[in-house]
Amino acid sequence: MTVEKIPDYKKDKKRVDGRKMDELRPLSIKVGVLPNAQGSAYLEWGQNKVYAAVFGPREALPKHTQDPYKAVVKAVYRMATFSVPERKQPRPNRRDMEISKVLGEALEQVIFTEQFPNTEISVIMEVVDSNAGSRVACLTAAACALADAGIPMKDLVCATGVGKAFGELVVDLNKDEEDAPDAVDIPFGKK
Amino acid sequence: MKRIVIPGELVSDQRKRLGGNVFVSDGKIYSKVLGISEDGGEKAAVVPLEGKYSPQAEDVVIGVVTRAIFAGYNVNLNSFVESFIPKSTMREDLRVGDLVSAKIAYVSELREAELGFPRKMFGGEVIEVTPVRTPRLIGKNGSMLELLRQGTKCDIIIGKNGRVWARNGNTDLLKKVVLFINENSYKSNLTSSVEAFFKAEGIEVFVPKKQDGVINHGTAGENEVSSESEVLENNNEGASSEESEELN
Repeated sequence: MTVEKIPDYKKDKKRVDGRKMDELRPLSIKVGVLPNAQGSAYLEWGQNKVYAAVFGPREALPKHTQDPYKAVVKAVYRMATFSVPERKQPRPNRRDMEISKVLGEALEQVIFTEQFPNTEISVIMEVVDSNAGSRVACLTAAACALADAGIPMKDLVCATGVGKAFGELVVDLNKDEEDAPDAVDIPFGKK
Repeated sequence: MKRIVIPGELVSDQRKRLGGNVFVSDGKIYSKVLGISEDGGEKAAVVPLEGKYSPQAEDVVIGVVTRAIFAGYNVNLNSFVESFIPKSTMREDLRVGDLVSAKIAYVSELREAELGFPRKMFGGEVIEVTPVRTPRLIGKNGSMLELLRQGTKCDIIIGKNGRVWARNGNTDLLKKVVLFINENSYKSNLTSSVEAFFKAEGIEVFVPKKQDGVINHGTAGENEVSSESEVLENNNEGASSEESEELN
């Protein structure tokens, strides 16, 4: 969808896709979708489609990554080449690496890592379709996959984007709003 | 009342004895895992629905030999790390891929299990199930295990690490029943539905009732303890008492 004329949210009281200002896009989560993973989840959030898989706790290799006091959370955020309109280079770029690191740290906050010394917990998140907010979709899916794997946690992490678009504060921005001339977007994760 | 709880969900806001898979925050008790919690009762505990096997002392486990070196054997227990059996403790020679049953003698602070009484398993089949659901395969006082033995005429050993070994008898039927129990582990009254399962296959089973005439099939995993079976059970008691001391 393209925006023909720039909308004004202050006047319209409605967003480009007809949502209210504090309304999320339709969200559905399914767990246990990947048989070879210890735990997995599939999430659809608007046009975003995300898979998350959890492996472990298992022996951390290479051995120097092990921590004798706690488990190491290794998170991988990856976008499929066909997940965006223009083909994405499959090699992990700067953005992917940063998101992986931040999501891994967010998950580490809720996992009882001290119960599994010398192990690693791998969380692999794959974006198969995206429309703004794929990182918060990944974080939500990863939390569900961890619960499905039976890993002890303090809470389920849930996340959403909050930002300003077309002159009004809105929740869960889509691509059109993210590309708005005055757009500010902050992803939030909460336990 | 039994209900399904997710990680971080309130189990009880009262002061109670702590069972497994719960943690305390601001004086309230929350669940650590996805599982089933029972309201009422003096203990707050959650029986997990999913999870990996974490070794505990006195567990009977079934391992697979993954490596043979001069000093002994590496054994995979479905756990975080592999265990080691020294050659001096084994009468028979083992090869890679052999099955071993053993009792866990000691678990270190790094969750490495030391195995005692290793025995080589000759023949038989192994059925893999979810490790946290094995208490349901044994049942209260071993009632479910007795049912399986009678219904299928198999020799059965249930490893707490989620491996069920069986030999002789109707192993195909056993596999069906075990996977049925594995899928329906969260339901109550499982013993009678398994009895019905056998009846549908045309097999009559008779489970001797205990003296007081009450076998409580209703309680899930946690409290079920086998008495006469080979699988000696449930160390959750020990773990929980440690945790409750921690709270005080």
